[in-house]
Amino acid sequence: MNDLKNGWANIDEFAGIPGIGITSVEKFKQGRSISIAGKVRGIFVRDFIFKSLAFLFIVLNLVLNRTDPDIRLINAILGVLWIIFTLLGIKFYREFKRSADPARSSRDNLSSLLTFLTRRFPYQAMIAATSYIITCLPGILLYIVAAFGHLQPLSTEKYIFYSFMGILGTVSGYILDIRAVRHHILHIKICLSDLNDNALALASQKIEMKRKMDHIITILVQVAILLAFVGILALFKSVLT
Amino acid sequence: MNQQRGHKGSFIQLMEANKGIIHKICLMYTSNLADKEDLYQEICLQLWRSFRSYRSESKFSTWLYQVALNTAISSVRKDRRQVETVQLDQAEHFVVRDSEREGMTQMLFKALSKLNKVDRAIILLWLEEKEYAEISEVIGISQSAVSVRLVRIRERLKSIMKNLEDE
Repeated sequence: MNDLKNGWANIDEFAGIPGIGITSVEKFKQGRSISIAGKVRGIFVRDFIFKSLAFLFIVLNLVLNRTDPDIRLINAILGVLWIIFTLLGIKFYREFKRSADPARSSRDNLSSLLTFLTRRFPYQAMIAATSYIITCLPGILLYIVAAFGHLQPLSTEKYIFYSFMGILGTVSGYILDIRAVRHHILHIKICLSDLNDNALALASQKIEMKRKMDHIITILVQVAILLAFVGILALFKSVLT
Repeated sequence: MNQQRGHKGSFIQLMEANKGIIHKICLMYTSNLADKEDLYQEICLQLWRSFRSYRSESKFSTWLYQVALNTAISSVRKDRRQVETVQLDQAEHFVVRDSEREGMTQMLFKALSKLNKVDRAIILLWLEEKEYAEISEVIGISQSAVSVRLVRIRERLKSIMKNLEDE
């Protein structure tokens, strides 16, 4: 075994990476993320960008179309949804930050990441998916006003097309996020089983205890989101067609 | 502002003093230069993010190993096609100097790369002369589990290296 340690001791002299040294903090702030925590953080960041855009569109709509009561109503509803989803997004982001803290033992780090990704992330994915439609609807209104100077009635075909695109973006966003995380969950499970210390069994047990309740809440949230958007689309139709 | 600058300054100093460890971890968990650079950046970024909440109650080296190894263990490469090109890059990286010592090191890395990510972390800490108590704290398993695991890992490494020598 001394051979191993000798071999290891020899590494220093050619272990450096050409062109990389720690000369400034800013230098590595822009690094491409390859860790699970980094990738999930990326999903949160993308969602916050969409939410900022949605906020901008809603505010512009309220300013530009302040005399139109229907537009005010649609944007007010979108604004309320925006506030609810943004607050939930912030809450989940805080939970994620706590779960992803790497300054703990590997076992704790992996277990808490697994718990977050299995239990909490599906909600975050739903919230992130709604950002598309919350951005899309005021965006369309803004586009129509910018292009024609006033609200232009939409044909049924166009209405169906826009609604379809919004729903497609929402559903595909949700599926893509869930699929990406499923890959990470698998990786974490492999690492936890490599710990060979009942770590995976304990983490799974903890998750399983809450799974039933999570399942009911997930369905309720999905139904609530669906109803909210069906209502908004109906309102949207009454204004534009 | 000054406090922030001082914070950055002390972080950079600590990182400079410990960059050898980060390089070794990167070597152990990647198989080509591009991946190594990515992991290096990722570890530095995570260390910087966690540094704000670092309290000197625990040993700096324990904290550093925890953050760096957790980042390395949870790094995911989806693109499996890279594996083919990797070996060439890696060979180039090591074979430039044709000495016996480097041959030994190259073989050691080949053997280490055949271990799972958690075992690699445990053996790395052992190679770095860490005590069982510290390994146990970093990985999150008991000291007796560390001892048992190390025996198994060393045996496995021996057999892998023997096979590599025979090849």
